[in-house]
Amino acid sequence: MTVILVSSDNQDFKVDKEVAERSILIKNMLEDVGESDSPIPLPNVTAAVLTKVIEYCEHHRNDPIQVPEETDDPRKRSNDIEEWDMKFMQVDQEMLFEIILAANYLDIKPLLDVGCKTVANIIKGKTPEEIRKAFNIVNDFTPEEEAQIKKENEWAEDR
Amino acid sequence: MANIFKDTKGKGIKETKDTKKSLGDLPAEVLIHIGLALPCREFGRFLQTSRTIHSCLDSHYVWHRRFTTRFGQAILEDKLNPSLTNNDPSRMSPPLTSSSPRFPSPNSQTFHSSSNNNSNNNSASTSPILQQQFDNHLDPVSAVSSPLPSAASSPRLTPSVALHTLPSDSSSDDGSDGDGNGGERSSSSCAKRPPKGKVRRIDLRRTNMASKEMLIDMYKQLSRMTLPAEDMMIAHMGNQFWRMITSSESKYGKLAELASVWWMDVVAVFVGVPPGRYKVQWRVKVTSDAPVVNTEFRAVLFDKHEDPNTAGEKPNALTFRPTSKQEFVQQTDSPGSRVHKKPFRNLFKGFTILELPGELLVEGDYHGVFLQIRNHDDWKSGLYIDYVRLVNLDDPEQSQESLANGLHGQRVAAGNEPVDDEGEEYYPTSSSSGPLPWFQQTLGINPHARVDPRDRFRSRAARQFRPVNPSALLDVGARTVPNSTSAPANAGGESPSTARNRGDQLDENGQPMERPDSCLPL
Repeated sequence: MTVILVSSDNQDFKVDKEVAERSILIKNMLEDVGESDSPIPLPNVTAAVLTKVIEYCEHHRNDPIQVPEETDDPRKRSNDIEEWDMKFMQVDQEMLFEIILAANYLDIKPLLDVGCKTVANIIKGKTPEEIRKAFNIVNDFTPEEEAQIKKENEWAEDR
Repeated sequence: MANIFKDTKGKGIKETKDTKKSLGDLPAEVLIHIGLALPCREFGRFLQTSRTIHSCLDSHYVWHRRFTTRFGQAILEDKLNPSLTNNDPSRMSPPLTSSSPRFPSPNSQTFHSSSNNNSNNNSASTSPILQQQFDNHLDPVSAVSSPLPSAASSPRLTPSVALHTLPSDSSSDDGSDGDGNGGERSSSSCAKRPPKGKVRRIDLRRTNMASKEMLIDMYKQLSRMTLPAEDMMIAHMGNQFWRMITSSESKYGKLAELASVWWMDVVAVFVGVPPGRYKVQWRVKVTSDAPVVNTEFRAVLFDKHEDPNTAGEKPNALTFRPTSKQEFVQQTDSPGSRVHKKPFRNLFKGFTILELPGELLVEGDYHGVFLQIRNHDDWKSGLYIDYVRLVNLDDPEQSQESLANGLHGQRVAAGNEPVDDEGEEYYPTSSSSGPLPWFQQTLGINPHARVDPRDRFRSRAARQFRPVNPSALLDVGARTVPNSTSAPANAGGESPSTARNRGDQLDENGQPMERPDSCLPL
């Protein structure tokens, strides 16, 4: 069974229902709509991003669906990104952000996790100034505030 | 926040991107997701980048999530429900009896056994270790300001005794029934605590009453990678056997000093240790071989949901048991080549770092690390403990601290310094374990006699003519030969009995000791 997804720039994408349902948003929509064949509009996702998202969902179509609530189970938790996912995420920063935003909007938790871990890996090892530079963040602290917050969080340096 | 995507259909994507996107423009829930994925140091740095990010991430919710992800929720629950915790007297001050050192202190038995069966206000789920660690350092300001509900006033926190008499098996079950398992006595979902030892779902509602300041404070305490002596669990700590002393030799200002003890048992517990490779380092001052020779230095890993009290019973991740002073010294940063020539008390010039051989590998999730120094045989004295720490080899900023990388090289090079032992005899002045005292006795060497250097040779020559029948060495009389080093490795190819006949002195391995250079050839 296939469904049609329509990006914000009016491009149609035909995907298997099973793949599309990796997105909880789409899954819920399909449940609401029922047996209709009408395409599903995704106004917040452009075609380029949707292509990538669909690629991810296709690759992970057979993954077990994650339990909605977070467990303490050490077996399920891993801080490492799979190799395929790592290659998948080797895109420029803009696309990275857009994938993350799309995963957030479409409610695809594994993709959101991978995206955020990728950003976290970029942040690793950088000082605050370097982080700002890497992500184009404007420093809107006053010098006093900045010094105070630095002092407050000094303890985290060797933890 | 800038509206990144326009929701009207048909508009091209180019119109939405007039400025380069910044991380700070992402919606709050995404920023939170990123913040939760960051390790501690990077999280602290990330908070310093901008106001938006700081206000989004320095929130009660985020700290709550970070805490429960790293340390689990059980610790937080134990802290918030004091009425349900076990009111054991602090392990740091056991009752003082003169006969106690041969046995574990009463508290340590509680500590080592898994199911506490105190009937009334018990909890098998409490961890006195963590309770004590935290209580020692609770910032008085935050203690006053954070609204910790007392159990009496909060109706939700009904002590549910049945819950805690369940045996806490540490098998990691499917987490889905962790929540419903256990006592059904209390109707309120907040008081229903999943039994200890089982994997359970994180439900932030259970610990929502913890304030942000409290969460941060606890996080700070529990995430320490260096534990001072006063946060260790030391059996027989008090006045007579072990005592805490103030000292400027420690940056913490305090040391644990071993006066004399039989049951030596020191435990340090780390929780929420991030995945990585670690070295274990103990900073100690050793003035006698007894506390370290044949002492086991071990490390055990345990899961987040496991009871730290029972962690000690698990198999070792690392263990080190030196059978000689030299073996011990090899793992420290002291110059060790003059083991046999210097009086023992000058061997370690003050404090030394003992780094356990091998790496502690923490994989996957955050784990707890249980470290122990134990020796339950014979009296020993002469040990000072400053701290124990975990050095993260994967962290370039920290891995320099490991002896394997740094100081080790220095130590090896220091072998050529001149010996200055002031003519003193090399004999440990405190009673030590091992066969040395027995050999001394058999050969007629009196370790306590102070001999004039010239007379030394005369008496040794005199000793040489004393017939030493090898079979006499087998006749041990009332004393049994300590079996720890009774099979000396004859690496030198010379049998111990021949060496003995020559009147050579033997070290505890049965090998001939090197003679001091000033000795006349015999």
